[in-house]
Amino acid sequence: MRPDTWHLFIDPGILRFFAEGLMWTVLLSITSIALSFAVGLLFALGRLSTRAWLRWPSIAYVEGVLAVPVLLLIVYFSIKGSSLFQPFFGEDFDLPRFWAGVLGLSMYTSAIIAEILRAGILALPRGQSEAARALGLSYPRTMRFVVLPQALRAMVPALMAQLTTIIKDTSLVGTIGFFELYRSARIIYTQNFNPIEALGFISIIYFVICFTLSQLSRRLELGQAPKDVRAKLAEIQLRDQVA
Amino acid sequence: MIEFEDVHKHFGALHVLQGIDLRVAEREVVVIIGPSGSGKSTLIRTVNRMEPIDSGSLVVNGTQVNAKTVDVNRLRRDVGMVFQSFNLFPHLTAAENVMLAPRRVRGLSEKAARERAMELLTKVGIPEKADVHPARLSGGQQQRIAIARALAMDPKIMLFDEPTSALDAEMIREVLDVMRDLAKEGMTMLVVTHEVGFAREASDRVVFMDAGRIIEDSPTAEFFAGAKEERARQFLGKVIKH
Repeated sequence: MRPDTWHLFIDPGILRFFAEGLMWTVLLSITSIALSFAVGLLFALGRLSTRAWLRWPSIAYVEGVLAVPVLLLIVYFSIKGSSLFQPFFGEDFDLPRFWAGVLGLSMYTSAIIAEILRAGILALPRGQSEAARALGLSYPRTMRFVVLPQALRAMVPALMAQLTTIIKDTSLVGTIGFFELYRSARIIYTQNFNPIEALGFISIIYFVICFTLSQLSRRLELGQAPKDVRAKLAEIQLRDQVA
Repeated sequence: MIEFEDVHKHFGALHVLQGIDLRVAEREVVVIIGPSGSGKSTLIRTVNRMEPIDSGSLVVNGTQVNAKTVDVNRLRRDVGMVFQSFNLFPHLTAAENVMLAPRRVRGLSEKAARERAMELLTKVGIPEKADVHPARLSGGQQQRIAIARALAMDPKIMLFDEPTSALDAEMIREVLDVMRDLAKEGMTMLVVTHEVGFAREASDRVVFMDAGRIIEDSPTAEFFAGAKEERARQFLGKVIKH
């Protein structure tokens, strides 16, 4: 412990430095979750498709990506990302580290989200899509208006949990030299030799964000069936009064 | 309106429809009865191609249902279906359930769809539940909304797959009343049911099925006066006693 460095954590300049790191962490997380949601949805639908040429590549992608460490994907995009995109953006294209991080995080998270969404879609009673199809809705419209709204609502807690995971995983992007919350702490402690304080400080920030999100998701989960829950509570109370 | 000719259907090794021949004319109400597992539900599910057939010919509204060129979504617009388990969309209110297909398939404006939905909810007797979600409605109310939803596309044919089997006795009546009104208005209906009372009052013909075959197909009055087939008489004796 280095109590002599504690004053740093109320210094406006240092706090601004951490705030900037936090901002990049948040930006990384939001961009990655948005991208992985879109990609994950495609692969979830692909894996559920009756067409083999859509289903098998989707299975291969999801299972393949899930079996690889996220860090490896991030490092891969930071090293090879530029040459991957040069055919599209020209010889001089240099993939910014931010996007290398986003791609690595998104690739991994998209596979998880694909599985979450697939579970949510499969958990719906078959009668739902049957009723929609019987009304003359096409498969895409059945998905869009009947299946996905329900599957997504049921999957909100799981998706929120994934968001908290991605926020923590952004620290891995710090290892390829991108400045975010973890990196900001590393810069502070290498200059001031106070890793416990610096890392402790950002731990509190991670905790506050992730804990808030998980509480929020729990509340949303309860919001799913407020009527049923309330009805059940009322029933129990009634029974108690009678007894 | 509906013509089955030597229709066969298998589920794996199970031969569920074994050479069905059946004609349903416009404005006709045909009730299909028979023991469970006899293929009744499968039969009516072939009409809107929820179940494809393996062989034979099935013509609905002048189209070969199983022709490769048929636009199945177009076909289904003219054929309404009501399920045993209602299958209302729980994330939508009663009115939104009714409005979904007119809006998303026909492209009706929200206002026009809402007006039509209110008409239909009035017809099935529960306009006051328009903005309520299905979870807060009784089974009878849910099934009546499901009927309104099926009617919203102005179908030429209505299929009912055991519409009252999941309902308590006191709710069966309200659903059957709606179906009776529909029959009186001249809707072409194909109804799988165990409600012998409904068959007797509202149907033109009764079809008795057993083990994937149509055993008997008689005008309603004749059927109840004395079914020709022994198996039909036995079955009738059982369901009426209960």
